[in-house]
Amino acid sequence: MVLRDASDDTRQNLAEPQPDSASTDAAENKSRWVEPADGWLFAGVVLCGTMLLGPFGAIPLIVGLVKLRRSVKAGTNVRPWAATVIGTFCMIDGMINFVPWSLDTFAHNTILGETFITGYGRFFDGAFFLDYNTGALGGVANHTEKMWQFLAVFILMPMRVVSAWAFLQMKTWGLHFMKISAWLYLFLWVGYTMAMSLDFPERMANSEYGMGWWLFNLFYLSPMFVLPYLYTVNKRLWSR
Amino acid sequence: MHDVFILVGTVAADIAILATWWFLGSRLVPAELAPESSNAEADKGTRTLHRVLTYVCFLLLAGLIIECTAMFPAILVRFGWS
Repeated sequence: MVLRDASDDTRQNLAEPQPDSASTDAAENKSRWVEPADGWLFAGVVLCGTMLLGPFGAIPLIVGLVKLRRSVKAGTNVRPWAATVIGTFCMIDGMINFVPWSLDTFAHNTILGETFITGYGRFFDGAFFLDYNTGALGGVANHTEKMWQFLAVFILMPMRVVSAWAFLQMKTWGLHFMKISAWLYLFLWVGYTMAMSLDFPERMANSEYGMGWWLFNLFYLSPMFVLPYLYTVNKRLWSR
Repeated sequence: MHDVFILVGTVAADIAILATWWFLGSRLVPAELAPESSNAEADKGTRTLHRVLTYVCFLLLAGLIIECTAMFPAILVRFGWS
């Protein structure tokens, strides 16, 4: 695997004189993403992250990952494969928490919103089904869940999504924001685990699959896997 | 006397928690200030760590893709529109 400093490209683009505006545009287009396949990756993550359009997102996401893997094997990659995997995981994880929770926050009265959220509730977490749309703010009625939901929708998850994309684009602030959002995520994970455990009889026990608690815990553990990477990575690569 | 044990235990727990965060904070030196020798890419242990984390995160990513792809269709098949 060849690791190339992304800033080299940026410096080259700035240093080389461009003969006309068309060439300038071409150079800008060329350097829009760190890797040429990042467009596939972005489309796949966004579509999958909506959950509602998930089936349409898997294809571009897998195409993007395959192209990026080939680039790594050919030694033409700018971004380390580990950063691609970890950044993509964090971004899709942020999206699937951000979009459905915002659906419950803002669109709990719509057929699409109610179908998806209450369906999720029936499958995994009874709080999203029992007494749905009966609380003061609509949507999920469980007060603890509503509190975490607002923290997630307005602070953590959008922060996670943008920082993951900036991280994938090798931006300095992306690496910085990934660390901050990972610590916040750890904070949310501890609180959310407590809420889930204390409300277990009303939530998990009222769902079709008792394994919901384990399922959510597995994926919410992302900061445990990501923080060690963020603090040991070669920071000079994130210089765009 | 019973309360004393609990209060002493509480103080001990608080000190242990603070010490844990002191340890963590002192280990996680801001990358900008870290000496060049701490640059981790060259370190074999770090490379192993990165490899393990990459495998774990790739498996979790695969799980998320399956979840994203299957969740809404499964809801519609099982429960229909609300």
